[in-house]
Amino acid sequence: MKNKKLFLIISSVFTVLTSLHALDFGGSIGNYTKIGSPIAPGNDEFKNFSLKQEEILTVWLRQNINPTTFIALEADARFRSTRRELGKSDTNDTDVIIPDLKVLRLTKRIPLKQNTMMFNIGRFYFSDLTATVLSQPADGLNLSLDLKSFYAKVYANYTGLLNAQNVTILNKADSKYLLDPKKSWQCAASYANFGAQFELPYIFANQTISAEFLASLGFDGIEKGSADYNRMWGTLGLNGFLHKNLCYVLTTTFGSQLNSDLSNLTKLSFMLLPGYKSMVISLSGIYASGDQNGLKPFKGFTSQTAVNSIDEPEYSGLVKGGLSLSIKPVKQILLAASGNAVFSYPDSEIKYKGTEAGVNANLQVLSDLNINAGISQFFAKEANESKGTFTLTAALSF
Amino acid sequence: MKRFFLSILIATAGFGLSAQSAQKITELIATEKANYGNASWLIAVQTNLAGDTASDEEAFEILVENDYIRQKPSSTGEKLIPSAGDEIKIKDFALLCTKAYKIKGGLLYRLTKSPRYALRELKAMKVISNDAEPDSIVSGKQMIHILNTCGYSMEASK
Repeated sequence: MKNKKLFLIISSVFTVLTSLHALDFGGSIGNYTKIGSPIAPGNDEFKNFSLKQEEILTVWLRQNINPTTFIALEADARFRSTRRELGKSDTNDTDVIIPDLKVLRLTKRIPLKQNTMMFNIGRFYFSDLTATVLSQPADGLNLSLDLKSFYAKVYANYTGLLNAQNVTILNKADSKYLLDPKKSWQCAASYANFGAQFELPYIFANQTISAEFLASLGFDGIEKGSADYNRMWGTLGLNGFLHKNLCYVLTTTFGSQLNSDLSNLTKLSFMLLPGYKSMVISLSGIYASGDQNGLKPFKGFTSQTAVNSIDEPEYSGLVKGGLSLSIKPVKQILLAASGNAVFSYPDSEIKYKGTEAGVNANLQVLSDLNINAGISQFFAKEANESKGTFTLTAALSF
Repeated sequence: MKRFFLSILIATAGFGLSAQSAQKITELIATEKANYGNASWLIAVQTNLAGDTASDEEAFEILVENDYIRQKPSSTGEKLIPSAGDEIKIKDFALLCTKAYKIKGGLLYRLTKSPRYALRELKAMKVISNDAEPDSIVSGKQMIHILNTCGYSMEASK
């Protein structure tokens, strides 16, 4: 009965949308393959390599309601297979179809003479200034005001209806929330986030100052395990050009779990743009505090892998720095290479952990056919902690 | 806006226009909803299939003869569509552009040669805004802008 109702609702929405004049739609079919060096070290035979394989179908719709208002929708379904070791079956191996709604957004642009106000509501992508604390889709709204010399944005969102198979939220260490990788859909942990972002573009000597405040309130929703886990982050940012082809981005974020602890994440990048075949040379460094200098271990909101090593750590208690380079030798190809030295900094002692290196090639075969291949290797200082991965993605848009 | 006026200027110079044709461009700029005749004139002159003194109807016939435009009987079977006086959608104008500039396009365009994938191709080339609705009627200004941006794009990729 429930399914019948759902079907009726979906068909009515689709019928209304398709009967409207200004509908555009499309999609893509794609593949994602990631092969990793053996989890149990010491045996480098191919049958011991791990595999994550996905076949992905994405569809999107865009319905213009009037020249300043539109609805956007993007949904996908992926058939995900994971193998801990290629050569033998494991109880943790999965073969599961994962449906997801990535975007269902109403956007309204409100022109104000020379300025613009934008309003979004629904499910869409949220990111903070650092793109390291918060970087994921969520259900909510935002309102931004662009006055050219001043930019402000306020937003609020809820995470408890997201499919946790595609987004991982960092819970407290003793949280009872547990993800079952064999489920098609499991709701993510319940948090309500509130944020405000301000920017003064080119306020002095081509420099832009920005600031953001983000608060997150945890409570039990469909899934339990996030109640009373409340956090906040405050970020200051500075970016701009130091020379006509040299720019930088600096952000520093202080986080707190409201129990008089304070943590820090600082990121600094310099980008050199020589103006030759879209080349970009970057020098970047990240510090994510551990238990040192009166600070506590940093913890963001969205789970993100900081180092592609065996333990795949979050941005917490580490220092990482290095160089990266990207170039477009021809219009259809983008090549990138990077190398980073990684240090663990859990307490007062800083230790060299290893070096991460990677190369990536992106080939736009035709305007609707893209292939991307990448190899990364973590050369660990300690024996048996090195890890290599090969990833391949291909997508055809229709 | 600057880019648009620049494209009008270059279009005027590029077409090497007579006074009569300059008048035609002026009229096109003022056209809110262009038709197949207007589009055919621009395409035929740009591709040298017709001189700039040709009428919209003559240009349309030339494009039909050269397989740029395929006519089919209307639902009642009384006439062939489209005709020179019919309004032209942006996706159909995109198809004329891809044919005029012999743009090879993506895999699905190569397979289908359809207006839908011609529009996608011009969006991928950043000739047409991603927001453009496929079924919207193109204006005269838009046609001149699209045709010229397409030209620059193809020149730049050589």
